[in-house]
Amino acid sequence: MTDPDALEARAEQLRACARSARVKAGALATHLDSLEKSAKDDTLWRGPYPTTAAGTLAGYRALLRGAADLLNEDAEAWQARAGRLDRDADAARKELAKQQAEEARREPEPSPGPR
Amino acid sequence: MSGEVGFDITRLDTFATAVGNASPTLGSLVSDVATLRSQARPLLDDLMPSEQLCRPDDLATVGTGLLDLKAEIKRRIGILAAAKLAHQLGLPVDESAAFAATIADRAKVDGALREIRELFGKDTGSNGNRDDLDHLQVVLAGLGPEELDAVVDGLSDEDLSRLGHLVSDTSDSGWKWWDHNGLERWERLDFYGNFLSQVSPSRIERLAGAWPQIQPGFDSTDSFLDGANPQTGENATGMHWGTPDGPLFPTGADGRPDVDGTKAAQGTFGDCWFVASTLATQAADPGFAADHLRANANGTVSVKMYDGDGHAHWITVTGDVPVNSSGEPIGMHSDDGATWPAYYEKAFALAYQDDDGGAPDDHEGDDAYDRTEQGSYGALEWDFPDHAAPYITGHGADGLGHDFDDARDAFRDGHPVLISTPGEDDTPDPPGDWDGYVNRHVYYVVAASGDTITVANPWGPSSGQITMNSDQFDTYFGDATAMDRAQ
Repeated sequence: MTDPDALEARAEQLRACARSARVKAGALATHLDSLEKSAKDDTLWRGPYPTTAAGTLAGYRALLRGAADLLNEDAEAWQARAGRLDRDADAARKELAKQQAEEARREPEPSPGPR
Repeated sequence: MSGEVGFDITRLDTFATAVGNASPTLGSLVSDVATLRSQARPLLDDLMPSEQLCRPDDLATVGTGLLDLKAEIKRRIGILAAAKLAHQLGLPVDESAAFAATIADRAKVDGALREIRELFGKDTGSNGNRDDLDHLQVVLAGLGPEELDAVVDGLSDEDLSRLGHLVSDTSDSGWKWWDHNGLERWERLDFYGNFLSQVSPSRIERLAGAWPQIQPGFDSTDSFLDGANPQTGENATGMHWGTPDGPLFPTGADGRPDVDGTKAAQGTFGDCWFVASTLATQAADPGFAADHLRANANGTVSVKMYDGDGHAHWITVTGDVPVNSSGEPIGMHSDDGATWPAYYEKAFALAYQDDDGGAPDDHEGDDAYDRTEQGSYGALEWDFPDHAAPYITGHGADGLGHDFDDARDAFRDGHPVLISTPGEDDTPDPPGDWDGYVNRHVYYVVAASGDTITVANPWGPSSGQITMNSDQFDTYFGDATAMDRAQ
């Protein structure tokens, strides 16, 4: 039977990964926001090339948002897996307690001492 | 917009820089995400959502795309700057050209592509293809950065490789004096440099793949083969290519380059003769480095060196240099974080043609260590103090012999001066406070008074300086070499 403490430790590692992943996903999603905004600012520049460049940056930003969404999905999957591991740990702990109780019940009668 | 000069170049430049800076920070983010996924992977039983997608990672193309964008904006800033200058001179100006959809002339691009393709199948007769390549060189020199991008885009990787081979293959028949193939080294470096200094970063990746000869190898250096500098013992394991952090030059309060050559150091390659020559030149002319290196908008660096006739050539190198496992330049570098020494050494490794092989490095006769090389860091190890001068200054060097007064006077006359040391067997133990004294080494003069000369060790500031009198010069030092200042 799997050690419940090990299952819980694994769950906690996954939750930590998921927390970090959400932070990184936020950074990815907003990485180009200010640049895209600047690129569309016609007090900075204007003309066909600025329009193209702003479009390119918008395309890159969309790709990063897609990557961020995917990372968030991974984080959600890790979080869900951590929840299942916690439940497995609970079940394993209960099973262990049950086995220990049964073993205690089956303990042999004390043998007679030496004469 | 016609006739106006209204765009704020400083603001645009800040924007372009921010676009470029978004690339390495994105790279760090992507690397962090990959690490997270690799940490989570062994804790999972099922595929994670990102593993269920069968699509390539687009984020690497975003990183390169941001660098391309920065380079393109900087090009257009250059057009704006020229327009502003023209405006100041009272000429009619139309800044909007800087922001046109394209600044490439398609006819010129098509013409260059046609010339290149014709070369591939051409019978050059008995005189080789050099005339055709010279002509192509002229055609390409007339193209701007966007046009060169378009030329690269118009050629397959195989075509680029074939072009690189045509340019670098100088294997003439040998029995006809009039057949000349390929381009000689300096013209070849001009050819590569024309592309490398101007094309967008994504095109540099393609060119580097197709033209391996633009990267000087380091796998024949003693320090790579042994994992340590042969003289200092400094660790050199983990050597790989990497782009160093830091500016090309430190800048002073006025924003201009403020180069302190005494902070530069040799690193792990055995090229003290070259490093001392460079730093002697910088000591004699504080503007030398700033006049001889320039950072290009696409991340490459162009370095001015001189051919055997004293003609200047701008050699362009890619932004990566040999680095250690911590990502710091492992060759010539500077304690103040400036990167110019690393790029100057890299360009010299490409240009140097006078290696004779052989060295007193305990590996005599071992071809892995001691062979005649060109276009590599290995070619720079163990050579002579007068060999670097023509490349650095455009002038030869004068051997002064073993004469204290001549060495002192040459320095006082403004010449960069080198002084070498003999082998261990030829000198007694040096004075106790000469920590930086090393046998079989080359030093450069940094000061001279009536009866003393002070030399610096190219190993850098931590090795200290040595001030000697005439008797000490006679006992511990060998011949001196005087260079001219750079053109």
